[in-house]
Amino acid sequence: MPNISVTINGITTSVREGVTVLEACELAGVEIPTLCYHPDLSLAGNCRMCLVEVEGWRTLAIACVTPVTPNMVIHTHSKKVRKARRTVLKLLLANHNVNCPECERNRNCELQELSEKHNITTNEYQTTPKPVSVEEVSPGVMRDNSRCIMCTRCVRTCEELQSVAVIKPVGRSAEIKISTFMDRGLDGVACAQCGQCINRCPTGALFETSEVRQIWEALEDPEKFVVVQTAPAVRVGIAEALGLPTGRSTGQMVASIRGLGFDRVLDTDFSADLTIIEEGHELIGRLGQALQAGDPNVHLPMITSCSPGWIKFIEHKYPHLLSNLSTCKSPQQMFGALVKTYLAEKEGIDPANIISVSIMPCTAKKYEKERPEMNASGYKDVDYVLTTRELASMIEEAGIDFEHIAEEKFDRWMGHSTGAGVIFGATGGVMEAALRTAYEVVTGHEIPFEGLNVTPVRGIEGIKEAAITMPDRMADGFEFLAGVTLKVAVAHGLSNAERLMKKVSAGEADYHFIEIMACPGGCLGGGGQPIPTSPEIRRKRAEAIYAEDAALHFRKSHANPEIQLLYAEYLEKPLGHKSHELLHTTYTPRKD
Amino acid sequence: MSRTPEEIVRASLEKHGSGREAVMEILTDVNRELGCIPEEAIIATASAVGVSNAEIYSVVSFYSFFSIKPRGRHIVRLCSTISCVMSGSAEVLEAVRDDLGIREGETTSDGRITLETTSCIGLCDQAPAMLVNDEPHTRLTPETARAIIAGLE
Repeated sequence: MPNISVTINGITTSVREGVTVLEACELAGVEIPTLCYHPDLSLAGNCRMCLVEVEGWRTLAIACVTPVTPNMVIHTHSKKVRKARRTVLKLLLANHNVNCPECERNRNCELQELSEKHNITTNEYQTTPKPVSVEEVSPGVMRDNSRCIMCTRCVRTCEELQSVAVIKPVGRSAEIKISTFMDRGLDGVACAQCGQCINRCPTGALFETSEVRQIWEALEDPEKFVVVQTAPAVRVGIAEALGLPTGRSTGQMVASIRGLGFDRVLDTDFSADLTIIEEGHELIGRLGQALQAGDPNVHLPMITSCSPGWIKFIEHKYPHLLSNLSTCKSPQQMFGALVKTYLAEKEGIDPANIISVSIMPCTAKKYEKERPEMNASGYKDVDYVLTTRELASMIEEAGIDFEHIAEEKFDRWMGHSTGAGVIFGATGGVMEAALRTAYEVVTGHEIPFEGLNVTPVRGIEGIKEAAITMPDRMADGFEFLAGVTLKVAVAHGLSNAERLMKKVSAGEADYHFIEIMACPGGCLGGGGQPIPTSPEIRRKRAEAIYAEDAALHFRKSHANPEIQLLYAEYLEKPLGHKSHELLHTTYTPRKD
Repeated sequence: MSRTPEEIVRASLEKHGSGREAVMEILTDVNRELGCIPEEAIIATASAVGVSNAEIYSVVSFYSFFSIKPRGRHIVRLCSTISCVMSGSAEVLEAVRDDLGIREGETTSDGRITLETTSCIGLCDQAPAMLVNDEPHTRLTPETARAIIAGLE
């Protein structure tokens, strides 16, 4: 499209025709306040925060939804604009539960920030008493509508990014609220517990179900042996959550967590590697059944099962595809099952005294640990789950200087990371890690990608596909795969997952293996990660993940020395009896 | 024999199709026949149109002529907007409440009448006004309102 000339605050500039006033102002370096606008979502134009004055217009223009026109003259902070914005803010505050110190989003709230920027010091329009908190509880996600400003970012997130669409505006006018079918609450409907709505809420109307208090209590109890695992994406999110630039900070994270008083600081990357071994062998087994034995009933494509939001989604929406899921538990739950069995033996600790904590970029993990089948160790495999944000709040409360703390390493037995484990945190990472191992198992050679970087499955595209043709010479026992082209697909965000599942359901997909992560960008964009989020922020986190992978000595799951020890001393072999008992699971069809 | 909510939805789909634009038609058909839109009808509509239950629930909740809860055989809707208030609708409401022994939003125990207030129904020039089912009644006084109510089966 051609460029056109517009004047913003007296400065004439050239912009592409078709951009909005908001985008034009952004390009010109002029900040416009927004609330209902979000770079991941469709335009709503309902909050009126971004009003600007356009010369010749009778009324103010909504910058986020108004396209620029040739020679438009825009004023972004005229008296009329400032008055309108202050009124909008005051009206929002009048209907808002302004109890900031109580709120999870205090100091990270867009409404608070804008009120401060616009010098709003009194809540003069609040004539009726402020709304009272009514908390709607579910295992991972909580809602308090007294803090809601009806921007509908959560509604658009749930529908557009996740195809879940369980929250909608209900009622009308002054009585409108965001609610669920028959007001059943998030726990009573097909909510995936992914928490993407939390990441996009401008206020504190949505937040995670917190377990910080219980963890402090466990840490203070001398009888308890508190073990913590940290997911791959936490190490590229925690700095951001503490107000520092995005980057890798594994060493500082480990030191800070140890500083909080945890007895053992371990790594979910270890069980990510374990997942790869188990899932890789499961895939090879299914391929063998299909290609060698010619069994028509084998369930292909096999689909990954690491993402608990995805699991809940498929249980609700595509229950007929549950047999296609890998039976592998997620890395969190594999880890939990081993903490109170294998690690307890190694450390000589009574598992009854172990508190198993995990730190996750995820709210669905809080739901997952409550699933009734997750007690393979004879105890609850994972007792508490913290999000990246909750970990940051504990580090702040303890006064730990994260930025300057000396780096430390994970503890042993279940603390060794490989690059393959690390990339579980990014979309395509499980696929890449699985291919690095499975290819080598069946061919006896490393996967033929430069630097082991399986680039076709990387990147932010919603659905990625790749095909890898096996060589003619295979390792002993895998001759049936000679010359076979293995087809794989990767999807992130549940809307993309849904697109892929529709194809699979219709028999239009000939993939062998599919990776699904519930959240945009994979776990690094999880519902427990720092707020805000945007494509740009997720791109930086992904860069940090792949930098961490490239920097590690071991890049393949099967090379992890602690994994080798685990099999030699405890599990014996992949898919063996103990594995089935501890590391594999079943799924439950649920109503939509 | 009366039709189930699902049967009404199915018949309505045949008339109006299963596009999103059919949603209002389907819900209106159900509401007209049953006096309310029960949960089963919402689920059946959502699955036929291919949207979430929450979305249809959202639509139902928006319109005051739609109700999820079962209502009485007759629905009395008294206007509570300013012209009617200034012409004495409060006294009319008081009289109807007294007569029926219920408040707005409630239904008489014999299932005869549901009483509601409504925003402007466009009869400001003949205020105070009310709708009894689809029929408007205007220039009400407590006495005329009582008589109209008494005449409902």
